[in-house]
Amino acid sequence: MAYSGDALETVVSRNRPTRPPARICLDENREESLKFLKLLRFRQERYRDANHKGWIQRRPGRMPYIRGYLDFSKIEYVSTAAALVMASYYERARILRGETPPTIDLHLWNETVFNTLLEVGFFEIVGITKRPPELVRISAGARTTMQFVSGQGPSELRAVCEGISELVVDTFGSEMPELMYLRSAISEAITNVQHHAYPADHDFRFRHVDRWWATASTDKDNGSLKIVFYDQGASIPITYPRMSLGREVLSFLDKIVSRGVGSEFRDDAAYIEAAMTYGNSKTGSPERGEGLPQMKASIDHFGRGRLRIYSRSGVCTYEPNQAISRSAYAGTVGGTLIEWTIFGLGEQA
Amino acid sequence: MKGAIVINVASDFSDYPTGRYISDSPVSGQRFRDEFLIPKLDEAMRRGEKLVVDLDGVQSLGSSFLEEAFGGLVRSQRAHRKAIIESVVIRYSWAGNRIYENMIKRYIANA
Repeated sequence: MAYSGDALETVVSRNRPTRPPARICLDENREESLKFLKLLRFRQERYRDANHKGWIQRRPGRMPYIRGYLDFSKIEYVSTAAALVMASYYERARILRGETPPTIDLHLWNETVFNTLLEVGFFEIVGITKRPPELVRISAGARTTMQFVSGQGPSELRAVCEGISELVVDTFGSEMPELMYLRSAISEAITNVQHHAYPADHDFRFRHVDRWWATASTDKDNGSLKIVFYDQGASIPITYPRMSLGREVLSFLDKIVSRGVGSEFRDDAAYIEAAMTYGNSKTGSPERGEGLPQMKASIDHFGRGRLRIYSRSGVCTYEPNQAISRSAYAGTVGGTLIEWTIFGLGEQA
Repeated sequence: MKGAIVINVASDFSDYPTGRYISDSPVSGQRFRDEFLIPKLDEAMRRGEKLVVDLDGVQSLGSSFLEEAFGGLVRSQRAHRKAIIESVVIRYSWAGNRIYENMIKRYIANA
C-alpha cells in the first residue's frame, strides 16, 4: 500500500524491497545507519533522474507500479538525529520535485519508529499530515520531541529557540536562563550555514536546497535535552581547509593530518577538531569565525553535556574538561550534523 | 559616571540579534554597529558620557554578531580603541551574561 500525500493506493513493486538496518542510530550502529542514509540519498536522486513521471508509474490497464522501495517496516528503532536527516532528504525531494517518494505499507511500520518520525514532523513532509501553524511537541513515554524546523537563513531562529524553551519548561517545569548559551550556539550554527555550507563553487553530488534543519527532544527519566542541527552542505572537511587559516591552525593540522596513502576522508575528523578548537576564520583574524568554538564553549558553560559534530566522514566529540575525541567512519552523513546533549536538567528544575 | 546613553539591545534592536553582515540578517552585527553603536558612541563621546549597552532581554548572542558589532566598532575607526574601552559599559542582570561581556571586551581588544 502506497501513500502519496494523503492518497492511498495499491501499487506493485518491480523489485524486491531493500531491507534497512533494524536500528538506525549514528551512536549505536553508525556504519550500517550511514549506509542506509546514503542509500536513501542515492535512491531519491536516481529515481528522480530515471523517471520524470513521478514515483508511481501509471499505464492504462495496468496496476500502478514503483521500481523498488526501502522497507521501513523492518526498522525497529530510529534515533532523533537519524530521523531528522531522513526528514531532510524527503524535504529536499519535495522541494526539488514537488513530491516525495511514497511511503509504503505504513500500517506495518514499527510503532516506535512511526512515533519518532511523527515526532520530528516526517509525515508532514510526505503530506500525510498537515503542518500545524505552531510548533508541536509530541510525547512518547518519558521522551518529548519538538517537530523539526527548517530554514534558509536566520528568520526561523526564534521559532527554534522558543520551541526549545517551551520543550524544557514542559518537561522539567521551569525555564533555564542557561539555555541562552545553546540559543547563541544555534544562532552561530545558522550563520555558519549561511557563510560556509553551500559554497557556489562546490560541485555537489546531490542537488541542495540551501537549508538547515533542527529539532530537539527531552527525556524526563534521564534529565536530558538533545538538540540536533543538520545541513546538507559541502561539509567542514571540504570548506575548512580552503579558508585562510592562521599559523597556529596550520601547525595544529600539520601535526594531526596524515600524509600517507588512504581514503580521501581519513582526515575529516582532524579538520572538524581544528574548526572546533580554532574557529573557521576566512579572514585569518583569530577573533573572527568563532562559531564552532562558541558551540563547544556552550557545553563548558553548562558544565555537563556533550557536543558531537559529524561532518562528511569524521566525527568529533567534546565533553567539559576533556580533550576532543575524533574518529573516522565509513560512509558520510551527507553534510554536517551537530548534536548538543545536556544532562542533569531534572536536578536543576 | 557623569551620565549615560543607554542602548537596550532587546527592546531597541532585537531580542534575537544574529548574523555578521546585513546580507546574513536584518538584525546583524553590522547593522547594530552602524545604526546604533556608532551614532550613540559619537553622541556619548560628544557629551562626555558613557555608552551603556544593556543585554537584559536578549535571547541569543552569537559570536559573529558580537564580533562584527564591537570588533567592527574598532575597525570603523570612529574612535580610538582605548576611548571605546573607556566609554562602553556592558550592563546585565543575569550573571551568566558575563560570558558575553568578556567576549565583547576581547573583540574590542583584538580587533
